[in-house]
Amino acid sequence: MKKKQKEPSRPKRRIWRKFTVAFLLFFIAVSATAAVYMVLLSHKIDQRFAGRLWDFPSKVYSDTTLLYTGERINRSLLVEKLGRLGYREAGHIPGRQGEMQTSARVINIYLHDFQSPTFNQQSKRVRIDLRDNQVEDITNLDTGKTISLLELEPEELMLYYGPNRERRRLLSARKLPPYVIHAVLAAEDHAFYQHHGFVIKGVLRAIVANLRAGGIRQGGSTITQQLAKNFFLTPERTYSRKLKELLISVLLEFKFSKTDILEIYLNEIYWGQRGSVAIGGMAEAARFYFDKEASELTVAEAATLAAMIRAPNLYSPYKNPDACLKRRNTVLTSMFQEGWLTEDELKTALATPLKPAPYTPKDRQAPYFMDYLTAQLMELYSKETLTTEGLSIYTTIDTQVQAAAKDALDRGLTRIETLYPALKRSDPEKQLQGAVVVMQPKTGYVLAMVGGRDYGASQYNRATDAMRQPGSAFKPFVYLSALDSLTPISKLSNTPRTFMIDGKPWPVKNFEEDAPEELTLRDALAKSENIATVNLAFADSFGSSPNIADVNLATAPGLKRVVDISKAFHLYPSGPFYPSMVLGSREITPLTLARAYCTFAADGVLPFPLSIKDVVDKSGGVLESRHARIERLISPAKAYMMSDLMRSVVEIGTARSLSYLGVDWPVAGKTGTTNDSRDAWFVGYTPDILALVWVGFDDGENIDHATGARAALPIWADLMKSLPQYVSGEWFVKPPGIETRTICKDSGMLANKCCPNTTEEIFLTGTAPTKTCTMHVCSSPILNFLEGVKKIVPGF
Amino acid sequence: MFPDFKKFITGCLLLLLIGCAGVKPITTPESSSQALPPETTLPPETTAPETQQPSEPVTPPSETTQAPREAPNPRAIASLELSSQAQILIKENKLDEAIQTLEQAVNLHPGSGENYYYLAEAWRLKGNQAQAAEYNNLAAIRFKNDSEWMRRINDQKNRIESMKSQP
Repeated sequence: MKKKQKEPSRPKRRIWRKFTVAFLLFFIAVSATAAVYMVLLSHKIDQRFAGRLWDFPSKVYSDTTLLYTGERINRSLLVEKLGRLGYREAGHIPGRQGEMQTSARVINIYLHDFQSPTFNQQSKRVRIDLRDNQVEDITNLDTGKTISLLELEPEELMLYYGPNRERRRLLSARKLPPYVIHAVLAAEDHAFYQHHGFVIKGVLRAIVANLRAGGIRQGGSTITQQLAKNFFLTPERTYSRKLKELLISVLLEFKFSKTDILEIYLNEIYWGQRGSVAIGGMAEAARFYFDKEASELTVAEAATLAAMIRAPNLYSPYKNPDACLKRRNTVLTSMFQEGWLTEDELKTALATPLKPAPYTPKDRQAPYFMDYLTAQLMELYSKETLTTEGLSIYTTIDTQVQAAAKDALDRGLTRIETLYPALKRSDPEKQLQGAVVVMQPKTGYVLAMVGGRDYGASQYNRATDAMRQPGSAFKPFVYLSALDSLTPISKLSNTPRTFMIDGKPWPVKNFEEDAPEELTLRDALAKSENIATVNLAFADSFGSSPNIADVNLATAPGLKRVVDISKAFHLYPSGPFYPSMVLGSREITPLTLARAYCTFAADGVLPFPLSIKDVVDKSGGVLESRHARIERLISPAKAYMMSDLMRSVVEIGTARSLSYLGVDWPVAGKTGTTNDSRDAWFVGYTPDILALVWVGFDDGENIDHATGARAALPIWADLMKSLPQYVSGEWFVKPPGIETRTICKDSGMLANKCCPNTTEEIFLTGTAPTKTCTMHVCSSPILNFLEGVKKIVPGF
Repeated sequence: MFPDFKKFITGCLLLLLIGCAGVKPITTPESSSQALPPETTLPPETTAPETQQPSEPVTPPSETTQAPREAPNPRAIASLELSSQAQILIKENKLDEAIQTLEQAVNLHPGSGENYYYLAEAWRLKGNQAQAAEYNNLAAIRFKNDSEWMRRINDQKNRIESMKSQP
């Protein structure tokens, strides 16, 4: 009986056995599930780290800037540019990269390092001596040697951000000074090198704190846990998520070395905001907050960045310097307590003031050009590629020209509104607009593009998309079409008359009512006479018939010549073509017109408008390299002839006010005003640069008296005067096929020595007059005799 | 004797007067050489003569005769420096980089014929006959009064014309 009492009853044993089996089964099931889960997590980690860890926005850069001894410069534009390149006024001789010191006569710069496949700049200190807005000398202060040609790095213009709007650069933890890493460890995880992903004490403390608070409040995260959270988990605070975080941390520690974990962490974490853009990773943070590489940070700067990790915006040195300084000092003290700083180092670092790099939010540069560029890039790359793969896109934009063009347009439009108050509109979307295109005519490089007055108010790119009537700005192409049969001295009728098109009258008027009834081709273009231009275009149709009503201009040979020129110059690739287009009635975009004018400035070759130079991938491989592409359209002689004719426009014609505006160097150009005064144009060029200015209302409202000469031309003059580096004062080289003759202005024949009004005129070879003036006969035989002796006896 | 001599002088004067009555009109010679300074002979090219002849020569055969360079002004000097850099790139067969450097040089100093000459050379080596021919033509415009350069340009033109046209 007693024995029976000591032995557990059979049912109890069964229950115990069942319990044990159930427990074992449960344990096995849990273990198996945990194992499967860990394998899955491990696979997930592998997958995540095998692919691209971060998205890198592609960057758009301007062209490089050349500085050379003897160059004329606009000092203020140059200093502004240096500021945009990230050079900060130091107030002393620059002691580190990114610093500059400017005075009226000297600019000292400590150049950044910059590497690209086509441009390498090694950091060095240079001194630029200036005199009268001219570069007098450039010296390498490190070597003392003169630099004849200095190329400044390209300027970052824009980034193609993805949805997260984040900019990031990567660093190698192995290249960082130990104190940078120690600062981060002191701030976030001083036992990093001792634990295996998490610290039990920290987890228990967090659990207790959370139980007391009735929910997850405290993280107690190690660096590994933070990494696990950032890469694999959502921000929600639950116990299951916390458990998952622990498991992933353990796996990360199992899979990666401590240095690798630290490196990924330093490259991953969020370091505050730069305007609307997030700063990711320590390299980007070091560049933004201190304008230097992370490897160059001082102890105090490293501690500042480390201090910000917990709450980057709360501890921002810009937004909350006191809180930032306090926490930085806590980090420094912690570093000392861990034995990572000596007492002296601590004292020095604590005494260092918080001094972040000056930050001024930049306006978006060349926004209309960026839209134009993006449209081209989207033909090459997907949006995802542009926002994630960190391409570097090097463009042709010269930011000094761009800034000058924008300023000139702003000033010019304001001036017009002041001059003609009726043109002022209160609604920003309806205000007077303008566009500027600046190109290098020989290569087709687009140096600047302003597509409107205010990108914020209107993103419509008038430079590339606005179809506007060119008016008289089209005339040079009409005159070009007649050069095979006419010369600059050919007389054109300018008498008012009614032309007929398909039996219907086409009333053509000159702008000036007292225009001469007859004038030379050169003068007709210079003064932009409409009637003379129509007569020139259709001269062979009229012939000697006094009754021009008999001529159907729509089928006249003259129109075909103009159409052929239009097609060749890519002005109008297809119809409809009609006679009034010779006076610029057919619409065109400013960029197309600017490009076509380049042909005159480029010895007869039409350049392709080039905006992208190189596209480079993140590892430095060149994906795309574009060059100037030229296409011969007309002979160099004809191009020279057109430039010479358009020089008269500036010297004696509708654009002669350029000289009053301070443009005292040779320029070829053409004004344009449409008949109904909806558009004002000026296209002007030299061998060095071509710029087009358009002014008008988007809805085609009348701009009254604001003609091309009054509205667009002053903007052009203002722009060019701001760019002395593009003003050489040189004129075009006379090509073969051009000959010069002295002409009697009265008879239009070769002048004799007795002609009272003579002029030097150029002709295409073989087209000059061959007969001598018969209108003026020398009357003095003695004079003739003496002239004859002069020829026979040199020195007589 | 004396009256005959007098007649002779009078006859000469009459002939002169008749001749002077038909004085030809004033025709101005081509003013190109006056409008623009002549391209003076400048220091020889900075690039050393090639010791290893590439399969296709970068410069025309007359390596021993150094071609003259253009008149120095600040822009021209800076442009020539870029041109010299480009010549090295061409020799290293880095043609895309050479073309971009030469385009920079053209933008800096559009009047320099040397840049067009080397652009023609780079495009020729890239196998683009059309672009090479255009740049050769542009170089010729600028060196039309320079016999040494014109000889080089004509040699280059012959090489370009002998190329097989490439798409």
